[in-house]
Amino acid sequence: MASSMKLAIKLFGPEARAVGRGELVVDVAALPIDCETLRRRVAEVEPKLTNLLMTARFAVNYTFVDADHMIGADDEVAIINQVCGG
Amino acid sequence: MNVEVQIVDGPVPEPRQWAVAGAGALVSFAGVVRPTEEGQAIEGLMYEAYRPMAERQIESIARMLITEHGLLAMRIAHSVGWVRVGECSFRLDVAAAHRQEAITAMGEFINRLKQDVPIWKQAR
Repeated sequence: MASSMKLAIKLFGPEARAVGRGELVVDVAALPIDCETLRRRVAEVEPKLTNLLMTARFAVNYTFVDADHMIGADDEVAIINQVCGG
Repeated sequence: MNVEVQIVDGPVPEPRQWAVAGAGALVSFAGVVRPTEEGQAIEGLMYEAYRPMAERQIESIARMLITEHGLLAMRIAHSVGWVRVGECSFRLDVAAAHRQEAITAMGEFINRLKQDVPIWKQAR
């Protein structure tokens, strides 16, 4: 039987409002996982985020990362979109 | 390099006096909450931040600009939580030997803040 791993993702702003919470836990087939694969997995789990994910960036351990960045089990992951401070 | 970053709950308070050795220019910017947002009257803004990342990003941008423009120091304060119309939600102080690099860095910092610092606001 195939097993999966859970990955917690922090949500803020428009993403958090779209799903009504500040964290999403998704099952992934294996870790590490690259950001682009995780983006597609998040859209499967939460279709409400599909459009927002098109412009969102991933942050891993408080740093913006590229689509091919590999995320491990101990990483802190966040989806960041449309920031508007000031 | 002298960088001071503060994320504060509620409005940003009046700044304390700032003395920077060697400075010939101390340039300050205060962002206050406008009474309208997209043409609608509002009572204020609720700010949300991914706080540890916001602090790191602000410091990183400040350090980059200090190096790039040869500044002496930067001091940044930003609100989280509720800030009413007319209250200050963001303050930036830049110290430099001469005014031009301080003024230039100020504009660049604000542009980067609005692109790369994980802070969101929602009008109410």
